[in-house]
Amino acid sequence: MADAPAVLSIRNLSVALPEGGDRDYAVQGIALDVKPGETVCLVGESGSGKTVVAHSVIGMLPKALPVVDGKLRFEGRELPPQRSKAYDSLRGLKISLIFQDAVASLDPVQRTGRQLEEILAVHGVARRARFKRALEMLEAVGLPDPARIYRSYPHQLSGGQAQRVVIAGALLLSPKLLIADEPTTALDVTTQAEILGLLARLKKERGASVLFITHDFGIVAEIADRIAVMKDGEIVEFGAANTVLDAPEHPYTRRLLAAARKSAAVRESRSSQPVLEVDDLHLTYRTGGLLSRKSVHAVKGVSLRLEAGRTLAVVGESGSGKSSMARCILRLEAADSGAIRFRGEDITSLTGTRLRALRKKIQFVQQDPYSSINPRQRILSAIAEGPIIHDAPRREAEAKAADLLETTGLSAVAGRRYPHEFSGGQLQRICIARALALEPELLIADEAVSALDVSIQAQILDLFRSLQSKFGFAMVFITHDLRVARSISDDILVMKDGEVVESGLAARVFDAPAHPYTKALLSAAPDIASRRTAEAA
Amino acid sequence: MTAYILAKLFRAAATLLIAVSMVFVFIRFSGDPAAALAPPDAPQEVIDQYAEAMGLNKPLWQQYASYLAGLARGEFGYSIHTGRPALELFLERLPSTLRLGSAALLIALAAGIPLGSFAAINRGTRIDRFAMAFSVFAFAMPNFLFGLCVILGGALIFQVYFGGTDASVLPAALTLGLAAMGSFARFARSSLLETINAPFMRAAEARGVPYMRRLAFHAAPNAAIPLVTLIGLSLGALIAGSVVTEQVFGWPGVGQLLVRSVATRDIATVQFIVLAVACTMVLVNLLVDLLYLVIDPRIRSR
Amino acid sequence: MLKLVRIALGAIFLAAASFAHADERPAIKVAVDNLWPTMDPVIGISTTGARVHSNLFDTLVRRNRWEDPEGTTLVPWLAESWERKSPNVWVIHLRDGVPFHDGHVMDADDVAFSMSEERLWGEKPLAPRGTRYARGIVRVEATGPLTVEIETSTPDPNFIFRLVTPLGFVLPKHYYEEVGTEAFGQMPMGTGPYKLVSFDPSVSVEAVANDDYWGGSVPAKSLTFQIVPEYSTRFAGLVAGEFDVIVSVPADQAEQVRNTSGVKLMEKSIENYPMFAFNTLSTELLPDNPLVDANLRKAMVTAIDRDGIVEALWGDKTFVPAPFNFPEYGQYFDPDRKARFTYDPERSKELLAETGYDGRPLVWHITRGFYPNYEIAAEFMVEQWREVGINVEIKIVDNFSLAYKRPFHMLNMSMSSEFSGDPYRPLWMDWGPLSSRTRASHKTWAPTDRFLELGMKFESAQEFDARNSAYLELVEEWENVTPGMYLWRNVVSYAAREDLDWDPGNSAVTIFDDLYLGSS
Repeated sequence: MADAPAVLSIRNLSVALPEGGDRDYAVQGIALDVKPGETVCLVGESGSGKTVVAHSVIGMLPKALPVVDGKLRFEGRELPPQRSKAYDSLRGLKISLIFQDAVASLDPVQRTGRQLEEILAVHGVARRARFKRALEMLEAVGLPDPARIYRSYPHQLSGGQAQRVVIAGALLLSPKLLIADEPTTALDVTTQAEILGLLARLKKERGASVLFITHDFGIVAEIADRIAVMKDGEIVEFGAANTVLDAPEHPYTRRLLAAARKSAAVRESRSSQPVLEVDDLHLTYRTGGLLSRKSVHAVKGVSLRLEAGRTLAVVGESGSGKSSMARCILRLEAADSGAIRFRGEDITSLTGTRLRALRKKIQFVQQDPYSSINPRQRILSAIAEGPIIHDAPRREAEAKAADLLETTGLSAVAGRRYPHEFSGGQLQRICIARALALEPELLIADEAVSALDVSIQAQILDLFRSLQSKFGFAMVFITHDLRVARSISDDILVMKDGEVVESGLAARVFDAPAHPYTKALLSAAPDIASRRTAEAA
Repeated sequence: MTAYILAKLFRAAATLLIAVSMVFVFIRFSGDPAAALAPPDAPQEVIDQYAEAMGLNKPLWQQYASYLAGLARGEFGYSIHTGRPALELFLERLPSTLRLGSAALLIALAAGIPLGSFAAINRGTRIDRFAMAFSVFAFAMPNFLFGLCVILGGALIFQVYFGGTDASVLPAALTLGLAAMGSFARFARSSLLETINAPFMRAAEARGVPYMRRLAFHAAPNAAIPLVTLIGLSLGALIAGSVVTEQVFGWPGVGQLLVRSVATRDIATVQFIVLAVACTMVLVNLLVDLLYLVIDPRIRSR
Repeated sequence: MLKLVRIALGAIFLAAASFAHADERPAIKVAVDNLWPTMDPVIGISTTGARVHSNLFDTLVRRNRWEDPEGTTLVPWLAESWERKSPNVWVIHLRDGVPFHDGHVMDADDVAFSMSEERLWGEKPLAPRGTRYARGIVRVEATGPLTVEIETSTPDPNFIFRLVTPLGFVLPKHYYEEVGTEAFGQMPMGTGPYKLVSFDPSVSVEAVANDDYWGGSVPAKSLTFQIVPEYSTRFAGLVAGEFDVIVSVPADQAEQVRNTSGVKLMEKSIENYPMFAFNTLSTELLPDNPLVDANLRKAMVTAIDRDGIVEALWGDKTFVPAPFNFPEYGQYFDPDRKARFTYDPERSKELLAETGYDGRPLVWHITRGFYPNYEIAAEFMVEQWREVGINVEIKIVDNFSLAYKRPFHMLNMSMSSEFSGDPYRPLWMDWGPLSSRTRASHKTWAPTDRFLELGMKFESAQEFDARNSAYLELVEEWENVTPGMYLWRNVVSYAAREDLDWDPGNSAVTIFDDLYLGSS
């Protein structure tokens, strides 16, 4: 395998960035090859240049990113220049590329079947053969009812189904190279595991090589034959998977691995008065008109208890009811039944000024910092706004906001700038500062780090912990990511289909899960620690 | 589905009722209709006789009730001046307004959408800038002013009279359609640009779908969806614009009838025209909703 | 060579022969701003209607404007002659053999019907707007096939002058009764030089030459009045040759027409006088109205340099009349009579000093764009008032019914002089006890006892000298009160193609018979 000629070989590739960027090159001096049947993982944080490498291989770099040096060879022949028409006969046929967001990469107004057939059509497959081949492929990617999927429109598919359809399209003509750019990032852990399994199987069956781009070392550990680690447009380490994972040479690799392995220290339960108690909470969503009424029972009898200074992680896949429950606690939804008590007071049906006062004490941090902050408002005034609304003097509120900016790791000067001048991680710090400006007793974080790169994730989680020990608030931390849950929580609540299937001390649940679903979740999560067992299986 | 349609119909009926009620009130409060009808120096008895003939001496609520009752029976009243049914007057004018309006819409579509698409495909080039400058001009140019330029230019430079129905419909239709053309062009451009940059377009490229096919089979159908709404909305602007354009070009359509009927306080005619226009708008909105069902599967399956 | 000449001659002959068969008369097309919704010549009394009426109908008597622009002489028309049988009874002798457009020959029944109680002056007349012209008539009777007797309640020496007004239009009784009032207004029929082909009130009137016209040849083969609401469009159509005549050239566009080749501008001063009325009454909505004081009104009149303003706005197209001294009144017109209150700022200040005027703003209601140049003149006047210390605030509204809404201190209006042989209408009908000025919801004054007394005297005087002296006394009393102020004689403007041999005289009425339109 080591001696076989490379399917793809990249030599000394450099791609320039437009002037005025934070560096001169998007990628510089990239040397990489992918051998037949091999999976090479290209790992790095966002902005490290992974995607530029991927797009250069398939000839889709925009004009603004010119290739200034280097050679790209595919099956021994040099690839055409970027954006050349000659690529039309390579793409889909010899090299395929799949993207992170599968639903978005399908044309919303065309049936999936037609989109698959189009690939066959543009590569010269006879009309009669197309339907059969498309259907076969849908079956091959493990879709339950291929004929129905064939007739479906993209919006009718789940994220996992859509990614299967996209993979079906990518592998329809058995290309030699499949480039997968973060194909599972948008998916639940269980679906992610299925898709990774599917890719592994199809790769073997169809004899394709895979260039897999990800920021997630858990995935890397599970699937990579070789690993290339990218940082700031350069490959800092490239080698066999075991070597890189077990004996990383570059400090950056070591740092990434450490961040991925981190888990929270278990803290003892302090028996004090609970900040939050929820008893037998039910919530049903009703939609539709008079005759087409639909109802979804989103939260079914959830109970929990949270003490000051502690963190409860609520874990579950999307649709498990975690966010709905959070919205009930925030009083953004009215619960059907059950009780929510805050500091012993029943807040389930609070209204008027008392509800307003409550809002100050329970704060919320959302997943997407970009959409939760007004782009036209200076940072300082965004943070100070809450206290001012709750009758704090402006001068005082702004001084405190500046303090909070420093506490959350930004300089006080940043307060004069606008949101677009910050990165996602910085913005999330700002959102946290904004939430803390009101000195809440309870902080609810809904997927607060899911949109962030791993190393940034680690920093933000550290920030949450240090702020919690400084201010003493209780925290409900909602996440689908078990690693995150493990690293931050004192207690854990596992939800499925609106119900709590397991709860308890985090350490206990992770080490000895009782419920089969918790077990399944834990085993599906790609984890460096689980690599050995996966290989053994 | 039935509930959906019932709700839509109810809303449509409410819209119509509000429209006719507002006209009913406004035309009676913007000066005494009887006084407006009589010459300025007419003695009071003459004005009173007019008021009686028009039923304006009754209390307002009685007039309103009998008007609504008439509507319910499909009686739209008679023009005070000609004694002919308002409906008949309207129907007489309708063909020439339709001729003008459809020609204008056609011009706006046939010129605006290709212009905008061409600009989007050549984004950032001189072509794009020129096309957009033109469409801003077209959109911002008051059609009253443009119409006068056309008609005076035609007469003074070419010795041709562009007014009236004997002449070609083109100059008037161009005047009426100009603003819509501008907004179609700009909207087509932004819609197409948004679609061209959508992830599924990149994905189609990565599957080896050639450029022209991507444009024709993927970009165009997706970009067309929001345009349908715009076309529906612009119909309202066309109707409003036709009032002005018909005035300028001496075009004897519904718009001119409306202006004249308002000026002479021909209440029944004004009320019927407003009702008809409101009906048209409601129908067009309904049509747009239905068209959406056809062209956008995401809405269909809801 | 000879052969060539012969061929040429032959060609000319042929052309001439074929010409003789074709109708070589022009088709006249007039672009108007509007048409009155009905063409009944009484219900449709209006400028936009009058442009059409005299082409379709004839009056019993008409005015000669084709030789004298002021038209001060009467011409027997459908009435061949008349006599005053007794002080209250007039006998009209009709012309024989005048056919309506359907061939039916006009007789005394048609005339009696046209002026009947049923149509014009009864309790609920078919054409209510005729009452003013028919005032005092108590009997209209066909006394022979071609004789009609008319009796008035009081003696009226100038009755015949009324027959040039819409009262004098003769309608076909048989046709009117067959189709009814409304249908007649939509498809009118008369005895005039043109017969109607189609009428659409929001599009056009189309008529063709009435080749059986009793009054002689008709100079155009057809006559069309087409609505073109926008002036610039009318102008474009005239320049492009689509129209022969266009009406209502705005004052500020006159220069452009003059400078355009191939077209000509005709500006005619007509028998209508834009003015304003002072509100001399204190009402609930206008308590302690300072204009109750005649000295303030006179101060306002003497503050204004009307001649200067008219000169600036109109040049020599029109003039400022002394009250009720109008050239169309023949004998009653005295070119040397001057107004009692003319421009005199010093006098104005003296008069003002005698009042208790406290400088409060006086509101002037003006109907937008109704009288040409009125708003501009008003601006000038407000400035001149300001100079003597009177504050006037202009409030421009969209129509007359809004202008009539109280409270206001001054109200724009115009007075038509109406050709009745003497100043009866403007002085007595428009300011007397039955006028809108004193009776309508927007009334502005209450006539003084002396005014009423002089008015009776004027009305009952039968001979010129007595009538004239009563008239002069009445004017004096009016000026003593000064309930309003005349601005100028109104001007209408036409534009026509340069080679069109047509002149309407000093009138807003357009007639295209062979007396006004040359057969060029």
